[in-house]
Amino acid sequence: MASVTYRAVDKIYGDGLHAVRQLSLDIPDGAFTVLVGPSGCGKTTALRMCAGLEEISGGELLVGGEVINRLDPGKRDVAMVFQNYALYPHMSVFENIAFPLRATHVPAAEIKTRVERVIELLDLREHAKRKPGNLSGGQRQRVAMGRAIVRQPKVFLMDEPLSNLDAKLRVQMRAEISQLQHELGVTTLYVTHDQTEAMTMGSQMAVMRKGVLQQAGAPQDIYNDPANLFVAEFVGSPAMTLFAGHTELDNGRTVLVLGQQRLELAEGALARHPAVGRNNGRRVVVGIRPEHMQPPGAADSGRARLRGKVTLVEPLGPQQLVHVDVEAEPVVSDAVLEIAGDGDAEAGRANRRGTAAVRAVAAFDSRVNVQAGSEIELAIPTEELHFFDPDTGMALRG
Amino acid sequence: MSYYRYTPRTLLRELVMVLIGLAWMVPIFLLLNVSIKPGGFEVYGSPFAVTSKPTLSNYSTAWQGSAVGSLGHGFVNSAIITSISVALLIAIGSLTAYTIARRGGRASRLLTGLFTFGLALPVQLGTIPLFAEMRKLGLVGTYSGMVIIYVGLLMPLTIFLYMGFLRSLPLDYEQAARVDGASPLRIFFRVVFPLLRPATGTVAILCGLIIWNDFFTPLIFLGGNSHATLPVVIYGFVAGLGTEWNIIFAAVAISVAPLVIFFIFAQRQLIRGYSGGIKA
Repeated sequence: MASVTYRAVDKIYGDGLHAVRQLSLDIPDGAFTVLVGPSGCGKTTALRMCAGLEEISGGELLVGGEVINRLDPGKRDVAMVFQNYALYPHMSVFENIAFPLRATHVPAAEIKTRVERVIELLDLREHAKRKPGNLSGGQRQRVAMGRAIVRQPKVFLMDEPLSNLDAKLRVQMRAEISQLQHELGVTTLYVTHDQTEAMTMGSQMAVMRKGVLQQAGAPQDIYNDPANLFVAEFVGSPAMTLFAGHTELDNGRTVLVLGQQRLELAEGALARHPAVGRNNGRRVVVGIRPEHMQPPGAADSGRARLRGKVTLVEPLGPQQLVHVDVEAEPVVSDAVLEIAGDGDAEAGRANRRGTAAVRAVAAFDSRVNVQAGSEIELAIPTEELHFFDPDTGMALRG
Repeated sequence: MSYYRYTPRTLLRELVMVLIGLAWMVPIFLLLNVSIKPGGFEVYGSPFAVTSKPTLSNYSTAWQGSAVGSLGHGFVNSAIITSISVALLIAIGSLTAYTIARRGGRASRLLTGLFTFGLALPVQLGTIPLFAEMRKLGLVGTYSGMVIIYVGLLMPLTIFLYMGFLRSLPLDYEQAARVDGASPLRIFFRVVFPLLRPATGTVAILCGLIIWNDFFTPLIFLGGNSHATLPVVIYGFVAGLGTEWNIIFAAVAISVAPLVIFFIFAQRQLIRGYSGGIKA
């Protein structure tokens, strides 16, 4: 086991594409770090550089404190799980798992015991003699895991290993992989574009965009305190609702103006975001998480209100997602539009063109009675608001 | 509901297929029909008519052989030359194609161009200088000489077939093996070569057929020699006006038998090799 450290790592392809820019990331020994971002953000390239399948254009990559930039993939003592598993189709499950051991000339008797132990661990006993072509998606996934585990490597590298599974199996394998990693305690770097996987699986999460690391930290910390608009909108499902607005000083109190609506900021909000209170009159982008927009109840009589019209109610069992059109200015920065357009800022711009309202998504308890088409008031705990600079997209901190 | 329906169009299509199939069967029918005729007028006058006196004696006569040598001897010669040539073509061709396909760069492009050029080059043009060189080297009339010629002649085709298949083979398998710590040779022999099986099947059948049926090269390089291959032995039956076609047809039927048997067992691989692709 070992730590993995990216020190200002760059990747520039032959055609000039700058896939990874100055990536600096520290993955402590035994940690489960998830690299997440939209397609083309450089996360897979970063992973493949660690595996030795991509050359490193600049910077240093360390495993266990040793620079491995020029080390052959087979000598790095890392194991990789590929997106499509890359199981050798002509070999049985046993032979697939035994392959890394045979390749490194482990004695035959030891191979047998080690492979059998892994087969037992992954519950593959009855499939040991079958070929990958005759296995289900979940079983193939397990064999791919087995091939990685059997080597007892310093680091696991996983490239979207769950993306080929159906939704139910994905949830199950998500838990299995997390548990396995926890038991084995092997440092793991896991790549996904699915922010749910990133939130639930990792002890650490690193969000990338266009080859640049946006934010790294514990998933809950990133969720609670996103560093910029991109992270704010990318992490969390349903996404954070963003409004463009400005602050004003009104009778000594700071008021947030969103379109025609005025929300008085509570003491707690100003204490958390002193920068907002200091610069009255400045333009800001305000973000609200779905769980922080609630139907007004007795408990929050003093809270700020946001009016809107319910356009859609999606029942999810324990919760319901309530889509509310709020008359306010939408946020049209590139980072946000890129997510709205699924990685393509132009498509996102087209999506949001001509809208004078912001579609807010609130998560209500399913017992609350809401009708589509009705007018609604949302109670907003202003201390839970997120503030961003509309020009730089960075969170307003300090 | 199934998307497939049996319509009059389907029936028509099937009829056309059956007719085409029958057309392909005509030479085979002719071959077998003549090979069991007693000879004389029945062979020359009405080759398509079914004989009332079928005989297998043509086969035993044919097996005795012609002026060149016995059919059994020709069989052994053909088998030795074909199997060694095909084995070498597969061994050298697959490794070469793999290196060219995966290495990339200018050298690879140059070699690809060279082998494509070799594919288009007519063999007969080079026969005379080739014969002169082979004689100087003492390789005329030997097994090794024939093998060298065939491996050289068919290498472009072999590499072309392997490269086509390699292009459709995902890199993931090799990359997984690299990360697993396998050496380049282990990656090739344990991972890539087994995955190339459909292409290997195509190479074996196609090149095997070409070599087995080749008449021109062995006639020149093995002429009047005890190493004569089957087609040359069969040609020995041809004797101007006195040629007994029923005997020749029996000899031909014997010589194609192993290929037909081979094809029956390997046809699925052959088709897969042509169409490419691999299933995980």
